[in-house]
Amino acid sequence: MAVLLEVTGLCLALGGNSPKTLVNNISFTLGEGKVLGIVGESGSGKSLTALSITRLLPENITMASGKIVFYNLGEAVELSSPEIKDIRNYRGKSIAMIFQEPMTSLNPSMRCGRQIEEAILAHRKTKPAALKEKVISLLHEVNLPRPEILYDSYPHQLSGGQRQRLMIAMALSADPSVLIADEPTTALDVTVQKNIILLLQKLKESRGLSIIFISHDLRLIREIADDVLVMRKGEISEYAEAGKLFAEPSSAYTKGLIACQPPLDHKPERLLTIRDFEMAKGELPREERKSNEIDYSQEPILRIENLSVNYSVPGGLFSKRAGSFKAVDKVSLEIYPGETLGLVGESGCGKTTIGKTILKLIQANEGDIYFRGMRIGSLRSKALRTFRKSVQVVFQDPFSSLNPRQTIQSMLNEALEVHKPGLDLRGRRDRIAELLINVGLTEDDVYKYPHQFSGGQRQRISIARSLAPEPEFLVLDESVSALDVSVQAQVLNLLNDLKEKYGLSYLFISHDLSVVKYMSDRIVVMHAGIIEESGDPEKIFHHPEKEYTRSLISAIPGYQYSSASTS
Amino acid sequence: MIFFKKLAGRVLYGLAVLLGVVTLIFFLFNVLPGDPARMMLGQRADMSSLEGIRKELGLDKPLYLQYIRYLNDLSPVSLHNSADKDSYFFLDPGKYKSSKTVFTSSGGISMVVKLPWLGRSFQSRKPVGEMVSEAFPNTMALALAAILIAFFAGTLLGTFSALKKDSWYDRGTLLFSALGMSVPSFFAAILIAWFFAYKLGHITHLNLTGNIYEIDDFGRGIKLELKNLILPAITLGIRPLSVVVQLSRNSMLEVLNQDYIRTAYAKGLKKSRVIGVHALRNSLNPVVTAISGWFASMLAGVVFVEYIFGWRGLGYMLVNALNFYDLPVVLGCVLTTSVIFVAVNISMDIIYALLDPRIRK
Repeated sequence: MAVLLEVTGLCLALGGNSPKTLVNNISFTLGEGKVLGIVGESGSGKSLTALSITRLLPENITMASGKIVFYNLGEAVELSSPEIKDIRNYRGKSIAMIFQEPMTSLNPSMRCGRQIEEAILAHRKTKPAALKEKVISLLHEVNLPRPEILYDSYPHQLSGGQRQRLMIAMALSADPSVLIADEPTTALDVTVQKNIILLLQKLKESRGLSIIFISHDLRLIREIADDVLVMRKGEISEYAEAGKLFAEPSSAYTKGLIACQPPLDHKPERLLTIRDFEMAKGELPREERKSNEIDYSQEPILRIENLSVNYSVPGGLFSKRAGSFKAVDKVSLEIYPGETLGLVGESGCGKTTIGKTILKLIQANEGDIYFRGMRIGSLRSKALRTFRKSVQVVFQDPFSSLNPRQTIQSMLNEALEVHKPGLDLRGRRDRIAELLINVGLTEDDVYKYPHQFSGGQRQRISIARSLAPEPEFLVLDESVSALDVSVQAQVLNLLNDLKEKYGLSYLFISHDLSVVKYMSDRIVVMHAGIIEESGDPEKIFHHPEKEYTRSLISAIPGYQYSSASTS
Repeated sequence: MIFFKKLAGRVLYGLAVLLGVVTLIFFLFNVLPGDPARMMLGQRADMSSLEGIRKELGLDKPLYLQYIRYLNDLSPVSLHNSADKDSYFFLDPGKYKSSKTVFTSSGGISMVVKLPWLGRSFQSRKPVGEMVSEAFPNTMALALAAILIAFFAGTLLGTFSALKKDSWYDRGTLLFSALGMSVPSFFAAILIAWFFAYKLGHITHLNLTGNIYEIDDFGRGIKLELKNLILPAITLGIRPLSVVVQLSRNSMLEVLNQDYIRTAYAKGLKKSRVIGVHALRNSLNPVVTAISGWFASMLAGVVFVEYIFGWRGLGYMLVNALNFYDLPVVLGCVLTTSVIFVAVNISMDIIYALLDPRIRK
């Protein structure tokens, strides 16, 4: 096997005077026509490693040592050598890149066709007629519909998946031999992700392209990679051939990473975390989760009847609103005491809108929501406050949902003052300490500000805040989606513990089917504002009634490797 | 098609704004203490001449009638009495420059189509429309020169500042732009006039005051004096220049951090092309917005600068008219200003849509 790219002893450091090592001693090789998967959690240095290959690192990060060699038609070129004055000749032409955010990775004020033409012209003089022809054929190659129209479109007129295809077309424009894909599907829906992966696989075959595929998702890496490099905190945790790595992972970190994603084929009592593997002595607990007995004959805690919510769509120039868009269309569902209802669907399906309507953050246009038999639309003053106390929310982004100028103490105090006016200062302090301990933080954390915590800890704070008024019902709106998988597992375990401890009921909203399946007693699948189907998780997974559900399930990364796909 | 429909809506809205402005100024002005007739005749005028002047100007009529007549004169389509010579609404054949009587009813009511008539100045008896059209080009030239200086010099300095972030050049530029923003225009005007036209007058050969067109020394005709534009335009440009420097610097810094800039580098483009094509164009959007608003307010006449440099623009005219309670001139100036504002706002929306395809639909 011919080697195309060889990285040895790569070290990257931040800052000048007292440099901080971000990436330490990374070595790997990329074979011709192979896919190398680089996997790691946030801060593992996987993106920096990729950017350093064509010297696209941010200005404050420098390559401290190491060697990057690219074999250009058999001839070794040391890309990291200062003798290479014009790295530009290799960018795009030999080694092309695509990035995570197709929304922001394209110039918003330049037509799509022009952006590709520019990439071609950067490396080869081409006549205008041939140029357009080449662009159209590239757009065809990445399966974009109606290339002639796209040629003259602006990026905002395309969907996320189309933009990523456009990025791929752009990357292929100078016929590179290596494509570096940095989390290319992370911002996309699962079904779109599936298609992008298929496209990359096709290109690998048809063009003999070698790919470095970077992702945080081990299951996705498994679908595409030949070799896998697992990175952790800037260092190599494990580097092996894919089949071997998944069959018998050698490092505890890799084992943990594989185990902490909720499995599709069974339901463990607790999700194992990386910590469990690192601290493990002997066998790890492998208890199965007993199914939650819920009495469906009783009065539901929350009942939604024929709910419709419209959004006004802003028109173009001059007008404030042009029309309206049905985000939720005649949806009815019930949630019973002690139950976790999983609401799953792709972006724009209306799942978050339902959550917000339950919280009375937006108005329903039609239909009613009843909480413990009371219509929430008609709640006023005191009854409304009681309702707000009983129904709380945990949002997705742990970074923007906490006020950066408030200490944890004052944040929780605020919630207690509003909803528990009976408590005196001492009572509140005790309660705050109790809450923090219950979510896995310590009493000493009360005087800290949100920026002093990691993402997972912040989400624990958000949970503590939502529990402060002693609610009965929590809306968990993509509450674990922004977290790394290992942290996600911890938070999911915490949510299950809290539910048991306080007798809570959850509406668990997520785009991630495997997480929803693990958490929920019942699942509701939404698509384009309506309920596609609902029912028992096992039933939906093994015998989906609707074509849409089926496509959603088969698009889950790594689905083909789980025994669920065969049963 | 939707575009034109919306455009029509905006124009109608603009007309409503104009009507509101006229109404407000008209009544506010009449609440002010002061008597135009006395301003014209002086303190020693006797009652009968005052009465005569008031009658001539129509100031003896009730306020609402004066208001209706003003609107009637302003409107391109108006109704008049062509039979009764003593009527307040009598159609004086020589009054309007170009008018066409559409029809005359049996009662002597005629309907006229004409250009808007702004009345005559109380003071000079000249038609206000003529005065405005003489003053406006002066203001226009001044504002345009100032804004062009601000835009080009400002984006150039600001962009370089961003590219050389934290260098001595960047710091120096920021310091000077902070100074430029905080200097009041009347002070800057006096300072600049004194220094460049008086102290360095023998080198620069610039005048303390002056206009684009000056009557030549022998009184034989008017000549173009572009050099008179230099000092007031620079004075007027200082502030927008300072703002544009900071705005374009910050905007450029923000754009340079965008993902699509990284994409552009990853494609293998030259740095000059990445900056010049991808970054610059996107960084200009906020600058254009800021500068257009500024331009509109400059067209309204820049009172201090025009006054100090003796520049006969709208601002200069407005100050004089206010001194003499010259209502038609004041109304004329304010109305012109408002029309400019409305027009600039509508055209800015269009330009903005052309610059940023995301706003277009």
